[in-house]
Amino acid sequence: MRGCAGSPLLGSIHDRISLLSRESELIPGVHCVLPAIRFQENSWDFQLPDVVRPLAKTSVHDITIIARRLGMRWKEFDPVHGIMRAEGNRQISNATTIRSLGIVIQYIDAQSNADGESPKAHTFLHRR
Amino acid sequence: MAAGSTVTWSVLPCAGFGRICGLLSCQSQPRTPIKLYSLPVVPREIITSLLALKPSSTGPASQLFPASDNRESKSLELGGIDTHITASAFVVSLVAFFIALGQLLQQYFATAGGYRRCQRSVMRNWARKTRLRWRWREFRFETLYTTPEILLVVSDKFYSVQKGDCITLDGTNISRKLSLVESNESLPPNNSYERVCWIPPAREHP
Repeated sequence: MRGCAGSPLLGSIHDRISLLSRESELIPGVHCVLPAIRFQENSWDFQLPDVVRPLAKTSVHDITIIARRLGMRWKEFDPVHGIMRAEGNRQISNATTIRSLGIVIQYIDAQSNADGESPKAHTFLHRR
Repeated sequence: MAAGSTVTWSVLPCAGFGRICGLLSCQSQPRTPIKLYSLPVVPREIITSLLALKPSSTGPASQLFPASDNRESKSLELGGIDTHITASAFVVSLVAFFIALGQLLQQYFATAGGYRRCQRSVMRNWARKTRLRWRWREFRFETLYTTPEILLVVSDKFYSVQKGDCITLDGTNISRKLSLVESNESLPPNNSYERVCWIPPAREHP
């Protein structure tokens, strides 16, 4: 799964899950599951013409859990047919299917919009 | 070489005059002596300004054109004009050279497809890892960009932000710096979120 490196989602993970992670470290014997990233270098030669920006990569399993930990609820969840939509906690995630590519998820954080900034959008691609 | 007899390539003094003779002798073989009478009738002042040489008794111009007192004095009078012409031609050629160089560089940098879509306006701090690689076989640039692969890792008691090639997103400054995320100070600290899913459910159900 790939995603845009614009990092709105990474910023939200830092802001919203980090507090939880630090509190979980205080619990003895609990191994907490934390979001992490890994750098991947790609060539633009293999980018599809329909994709106009770099996409990050993740899996359905990981993005499902991360969305729940960000406070969103999955209103529609059918990744086999490319239907995924999560809302809640002033955030929206919506999936779009691109042929020969997979599922692209757009993430919008309305929190920054309330502060006077433009909504943060983040796109993901799920490779089947 | 006797003056007024033949001119060979080896005695041509500069590229400008060599170009003239090359144009004139395009039908003949190189290294073949060129008859002087094959040169067109060109005023001596123009040839001198092209050569950027003042006529002297031993120079090639004097070998081509036997000096006479009238022509010598006339050329000395036009020496200032020759300098101006040479300087202006040098400036114009220099400007043309830099324009051609800029066009050449722009032409090759334009071969980097998608490079403008991997800039800071699109990728924020991740654009710092965008680079170009030159491909000799195709004689073009290839755009290489870096994107994150987001995954979940299990932390152990030896917790560290950077574990192998993975960087944990824990909200600390070092984690933000390593993950190329800008700090967001505008977010309120008591932001509401749901505390779910961080403990594997299997541990709760033996």
